[in-house]
Amino acid sequence: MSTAAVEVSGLTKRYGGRAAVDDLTFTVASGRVTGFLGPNGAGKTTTLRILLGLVQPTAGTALVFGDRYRDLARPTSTVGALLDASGFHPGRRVRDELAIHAAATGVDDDRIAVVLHDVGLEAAAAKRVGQLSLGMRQRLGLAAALLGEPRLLVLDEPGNGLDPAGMHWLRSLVRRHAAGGAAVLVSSHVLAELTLFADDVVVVNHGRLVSQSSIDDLLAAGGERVVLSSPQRAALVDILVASGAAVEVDVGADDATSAVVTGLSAAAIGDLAAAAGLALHQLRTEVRSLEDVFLEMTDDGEGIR
Amino acid sequence: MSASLGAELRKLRHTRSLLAVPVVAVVVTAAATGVLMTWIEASEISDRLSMHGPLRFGPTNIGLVLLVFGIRAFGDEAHHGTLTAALLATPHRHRLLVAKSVVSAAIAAATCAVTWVAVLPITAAGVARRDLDMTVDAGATAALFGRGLAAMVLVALLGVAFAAAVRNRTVALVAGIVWIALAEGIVGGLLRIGEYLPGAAVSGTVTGGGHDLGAVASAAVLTCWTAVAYLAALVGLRRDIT
Repeated sequence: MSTAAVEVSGLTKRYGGRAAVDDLTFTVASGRVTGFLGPNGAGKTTTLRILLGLVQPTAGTALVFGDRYRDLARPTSTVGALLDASGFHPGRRVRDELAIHAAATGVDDDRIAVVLHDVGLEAAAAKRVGQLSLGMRQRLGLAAALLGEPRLLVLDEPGNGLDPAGMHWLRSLVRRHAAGGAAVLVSSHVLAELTLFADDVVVVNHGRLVSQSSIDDLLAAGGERVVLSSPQRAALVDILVASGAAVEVDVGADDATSAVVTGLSAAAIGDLAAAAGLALHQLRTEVRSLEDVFLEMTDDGEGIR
Repeated sequence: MSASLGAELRKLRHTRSLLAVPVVAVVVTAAATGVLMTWIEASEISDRLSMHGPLRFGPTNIGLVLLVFGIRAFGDEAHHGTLTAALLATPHRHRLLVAKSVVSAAIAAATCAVTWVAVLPITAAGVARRDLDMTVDAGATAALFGRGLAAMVLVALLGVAFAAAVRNRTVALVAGIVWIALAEGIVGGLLRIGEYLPGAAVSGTVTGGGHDLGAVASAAVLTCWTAVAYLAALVGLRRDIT
């Protein structure tokens, strides 16, 4: 039986009475890029820090290849993590900073030149960290994460500070790493960014799991939907459901006439209503962007389960 | 553990501002010895090497510098946000504390030794040039060196543990310096417990006879303070790294 690269189960972290992470369960598979998506304050960073042994959970477990992070024999050769691009001493040179990481990881100094090449920082090797832009510090963080040739990459908002070319480079690097059989867990609060390179996506909000699916399934949730209004809604809904449509009627507390339909076009709905002799007061098509899907998923009390 | 020690040594080697702390201590002590042997009245210079001021009070003074070094050895990690990376590589937090302690103790011992190596020839040159009479009482001088070495190592460790407990470099530095330079004298005087406080224990360990407790008891007091700081550090290190 293969072990998941990351297995989070019933994870909870409370600060006083507030739950930053609330009974969170998900997995990350090897050879795939998994996006960890949620709005700011959703509990993504806390979850990643628990996974990496930096924060103690109140309950639940977060395992890396079946073990707690602190029980890994060579942790930074198993997991490469980029949590905070500002986590470098500003007075040290780029090459020296990586030499410190190499010693701590237990890898040969020859790896420094390799990762500097991989992240495109060869020309900045002699610069002091304090002289680097945010984007260059992100690259340095990735270089440090890659030093130990890890089987799992954990990246917390790695796109911060990167320009479009940098983002393209980041996506290529992450895809290459996954293609080599490693698992990649990337947190972000921008769904559109993740759709460009993630295979799977875990959506969280208020510390709770909203959904875990492949990115293709998530994308399928986008697209068109039809909003209708009918004084004979119940009868119309029965006909639409029988025709294979998905119908949501809980669209407003005092609204007994409206419904949102996916899986049928407006014309098909109109034809079905006419054939059944049912009145339609409104029938309009809405096109939902990925951002709409994300906002809907993370909207309080209206999340897709 | 060897990887952690290697990383700590590299941090020291590649962090100029931290490496400068013990270097400054040696240079200032050597310069002060030069001033003493050149301009101070002969009657104020001891006629026994084991009572020679720079060898007795020099270590006491560099004790404050080594406290700062110890605080910075751990406090810099919290200050620059590099503690996260250090703990990712060394998830067992007490191992990181041990690695920093070993390296800081080695630096403290080396600083003490280099200070003596710098002070002795300057003293010898001053004695010869001014035709002073100074007895080289080797046994007592060696004992003084041993006491100084022990005190410097303990005070550096105290700094490491204190910074690990506080996990805020600025707070640790201000609290440490203000306590040693100012508050300890006031508190010790008011409560009549001066010799049981850490700063007095450092000088008591080095100079021995000048204090009520004597060198061994002072060293024991300093060891107790250091042990208390390490207990606090182990508690402090359990806190989340957010």
